[in-house]
Amino acid sequence: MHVVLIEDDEKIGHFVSQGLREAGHVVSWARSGDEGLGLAREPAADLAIVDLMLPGRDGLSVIRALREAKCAVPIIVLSARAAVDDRVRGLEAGADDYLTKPFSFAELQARMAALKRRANPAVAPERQLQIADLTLDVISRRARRGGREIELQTKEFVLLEYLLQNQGRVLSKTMILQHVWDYHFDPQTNVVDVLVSRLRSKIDRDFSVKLIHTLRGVGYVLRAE
Amino acid sequence: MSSAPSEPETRGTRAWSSLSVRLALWYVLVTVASFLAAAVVFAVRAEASLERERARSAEGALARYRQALESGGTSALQALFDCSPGPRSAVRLTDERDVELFVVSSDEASRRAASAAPSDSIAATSDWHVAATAVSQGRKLSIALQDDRGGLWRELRETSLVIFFSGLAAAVLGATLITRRTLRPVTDLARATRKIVDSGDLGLRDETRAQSDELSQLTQLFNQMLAKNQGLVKAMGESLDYVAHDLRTPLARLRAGAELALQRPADTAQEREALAEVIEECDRVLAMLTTLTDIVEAEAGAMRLDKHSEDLGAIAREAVELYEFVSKEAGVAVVTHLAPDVRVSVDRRRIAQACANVIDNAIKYTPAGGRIEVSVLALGDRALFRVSDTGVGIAEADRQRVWERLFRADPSRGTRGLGLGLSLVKAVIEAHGGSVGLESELGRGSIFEIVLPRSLA
Repeated sequence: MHVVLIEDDEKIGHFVSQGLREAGHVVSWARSGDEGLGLAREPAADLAIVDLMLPGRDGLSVIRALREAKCAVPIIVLSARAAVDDRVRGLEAGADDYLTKPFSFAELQARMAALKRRANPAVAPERQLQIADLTLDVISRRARRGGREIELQTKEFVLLEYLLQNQGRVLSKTMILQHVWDYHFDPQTNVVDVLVSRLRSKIDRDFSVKLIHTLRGVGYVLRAE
Repeated sequence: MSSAPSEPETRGTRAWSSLSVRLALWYVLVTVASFLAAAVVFAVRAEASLERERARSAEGALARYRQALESGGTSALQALFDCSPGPRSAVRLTDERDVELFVVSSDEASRRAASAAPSDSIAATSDWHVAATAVSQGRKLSIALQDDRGGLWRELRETSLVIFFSGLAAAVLGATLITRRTLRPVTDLARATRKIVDSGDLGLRDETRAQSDELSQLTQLFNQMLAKNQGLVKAMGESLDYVAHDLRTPLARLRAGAELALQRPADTAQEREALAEVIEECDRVLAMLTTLTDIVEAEAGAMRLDKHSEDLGAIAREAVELYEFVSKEAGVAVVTHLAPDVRVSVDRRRIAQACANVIDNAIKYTPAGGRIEVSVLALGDRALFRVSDTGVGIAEADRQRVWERLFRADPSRGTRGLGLGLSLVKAVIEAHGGSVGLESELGRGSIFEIVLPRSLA
């Protein structure tokens, strides 16, 4: 994927562009709004990551200019402030998603993947999701592992489905919170940890191959090792 | 000539004294104007009254001369003229053909004036009052009296000037005194303010005795404002202390972890562990800063609220669901009594967070085997969200403080969460025009309440 990164902060720009390159993407890094606008307009661009605070032309103005030019490139906004105000204005201007600084790189990757999926809706959702010897029937909401039926409660099912759809990709606590409960803030008690450990006790406890892995400080990932 | 910092003071003093000078000048001006007006009215009235008096005296004199003539002839006229004191005058007797029979006068001018007198009338020229009357044998007796208005006016003017200048002096004195007295609260206030500005001591007050006039009210309001500011500054300082403390702890852990990892021989697993810890501590600090910013924004009325009509029961149910597994793990039973369709006009995310925080708090302070009741009900024009628990309860002294930033009932307890949850609840609810309440009994449990204005229809 060709990603246009518009970010004036050297450290964050370096962190993001290096991470994206390691993940196999091509990155064009613009340090000003005007330069970024030119790069994002090119048909080669698959995605634009736009910081709102930029020298010269600011991020919002870049997004508006892109949309006015009928340029449909997916846009993820970066902002230092979690203010609802900024989020709403970014989305209103035509951005597709929003990340508050500081953010985890895993979350950026997951949001990029979600945008890509949204852009290609032709892929029908699978009825059966699978990893190693674990299967989940999304219609009947039944899970089986090693030939054993596993009973799941609603939230546990939603989380397992989410993990299966993002196999091998790290999901942050914030993303799980938003996906499972539609909550957009961090509760004081870590409800995600509790839910994950319940799910883990159902699908991993009695098996030698563990599927749910914790990446401390980053999130959770589903993979068979 | 003077250094820069003293400049505003000079300007202030100048502006200030010009106010008192202006006030005094106005006072004097008004006094002088009213004095002059009174003088004009007095002069006009005195003039008219003098005029009448003079006419009457001319008439009286004529009557007296006529009586003297009729009783004692011209010699009696002469005698009466001689013993009449006063200004210049003339008496003249003529026959029917206007031939002069007798005349006596103090000078030529008065004689001419007397000869010009019309018969049977009193007249006044600018200098003379003349009068004439017919007497026996067709004769005519006429007199002229000099009008000595000039002298009277002079006297009047002199008296007036004396009164005017003493009045002016009194006015200036009065103006100075009154201006000083009236503006004293303002000067005192200015002095007190200057002292506070210079010393930075918000504890100083303007110690003016309490009176009930407008300027004293201003002083009292000023003192109240100072007291409030002092309270706010103190609260800010305290919460800054708490924030500094609560930031220092995770930062110290962060540093210690990283340093330890550096000192150990290279071990990828341990280094990764240390890095993960660094991220977790960072997230904790960030979460705290976000919450603090939210609280400050909500308290300042700067929080943008995306309000829609929402079902408070539904928000409460979702908040309970969020803690479904957490409460199960804590061994706390959560029961709900949610009245249907209690509508409130709120920012759903903010209120959801507030409700979640109250439930979070209840679970945290309720021991295993306890029970939490979450209810939503409509009370007239208000909507009520209530969480009661069978937890440890809150001591009376702490009941108000639980809403304060970074307050923790037992500081020695390392309960997770940064003591910002309930102050965020209070700030968000108050930003919605609602209120929070708390009832508690130590050892029996607590009841936390959120009251919001109910939206009708």
